Amino acid sequence: MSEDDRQFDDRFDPDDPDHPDRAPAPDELAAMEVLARRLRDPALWSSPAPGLGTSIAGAIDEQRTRDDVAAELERLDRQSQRARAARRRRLRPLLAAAAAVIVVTAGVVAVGQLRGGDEPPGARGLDIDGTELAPEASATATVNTGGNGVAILLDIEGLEPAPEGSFYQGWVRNAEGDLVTIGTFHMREGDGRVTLWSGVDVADYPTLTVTLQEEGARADSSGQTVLRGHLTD
Amino acid sequence: MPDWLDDHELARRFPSGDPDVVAAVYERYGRAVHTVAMSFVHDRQLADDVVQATFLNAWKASSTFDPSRRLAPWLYTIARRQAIDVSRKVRRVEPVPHDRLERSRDGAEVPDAFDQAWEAWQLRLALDQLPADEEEIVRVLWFEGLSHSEAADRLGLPVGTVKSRGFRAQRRLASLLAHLDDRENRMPRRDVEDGDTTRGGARS
Repeated sequence: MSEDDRQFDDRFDPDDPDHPDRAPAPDELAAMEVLARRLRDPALWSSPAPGLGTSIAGAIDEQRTRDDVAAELERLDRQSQRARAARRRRLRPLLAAAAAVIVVTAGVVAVGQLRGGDEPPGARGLDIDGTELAPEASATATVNTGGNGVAILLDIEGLEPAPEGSFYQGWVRNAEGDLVTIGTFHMREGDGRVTLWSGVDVADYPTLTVTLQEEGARADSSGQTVLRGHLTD
Repeated sequence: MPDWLDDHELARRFPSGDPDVVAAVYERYGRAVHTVAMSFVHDRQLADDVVQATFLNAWKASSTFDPSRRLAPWLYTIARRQAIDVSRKVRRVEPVPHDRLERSRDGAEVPDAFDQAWEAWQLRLALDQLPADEEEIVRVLWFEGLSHSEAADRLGLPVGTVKSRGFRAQRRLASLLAHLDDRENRMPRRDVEDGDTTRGGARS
């Protein structure tokens, strides 16, 4: 018997109204019957499997670890997305500029490819007229200033092919009348697109002429100009 | 197990998922959750599944739990919901216990499953607060139905000790469960209930 039990027993005598052996009062008896009924519920006395608590704590700990890892991965992913977005924002003007360059370049290249040339950027189109010697002739000149010189693309229409033993020669001329040759062609085949190259600045030599030359003749201009125009606006 | 943690502190620390805190919550409420589960599923293994699901779901939802509220009614609500879910899934049709049938014929009120589960929850928590020797006496006297002398033989105790422990346990239980009768054994069936037997501590 425990000390607690002994003290409990010692506290009661047979006449004590709280003694366990005394007859219970009717309301007390009713309460005891209710309690007894409740205590007969088998669900009260069933116990969980041993170790279930440890298993639950382990499962929650495992889930917590998985959640932590997932949250960390998500955080890193968000961080990475933010960094990519910031990089995109920083690069956007550069990308826009690059895109513009690409578009222009693509356009130039496309035109160049269509016309058989490979002109550098900075092209502009200018009208070149036929002279009295070739009134049906005309051309559009596109000037591209590049690192190696000035490319002058002529898109020529209505100009007859140079007769055998002759050829066409392009020139640029300054205000003093000095001439610089920019190349030769014959128009016997092809689509009329010709690229000529100038080693002098067309701003200083703004007048373009095309002359008909004879093979074996002097290297100077023959004076038989078939096309004439200005390479500056 | 951190015995010093009261109910509010346990509730506050439960969301951390700290195994020690989870173990403490289980130690305090695990058996009562199992009791609620048994009230619905009447199968120990299924009841254990309910216990596990209850604690896992409680932990997942714990970040939204207000730790100033009592942990016990919240856990009870989750446990009951889990038990009902499992009960529906297994589609068990349990026969009505014989004693309940008898009482029904007598016209006495038979508690439904909800009231019975709530009573069982309260009673289990009250039993958990009894000293182990008193709970044992209650078990053999009131659940197994042994007489004082039979219980004395079974437990190797003097009959007087069995009587005194039984009497003491009965008075403690009556005190712990007084509110059940005050409330006419009714438990609000809303999902968030308040009021319970627990005094914020496990068995002393």
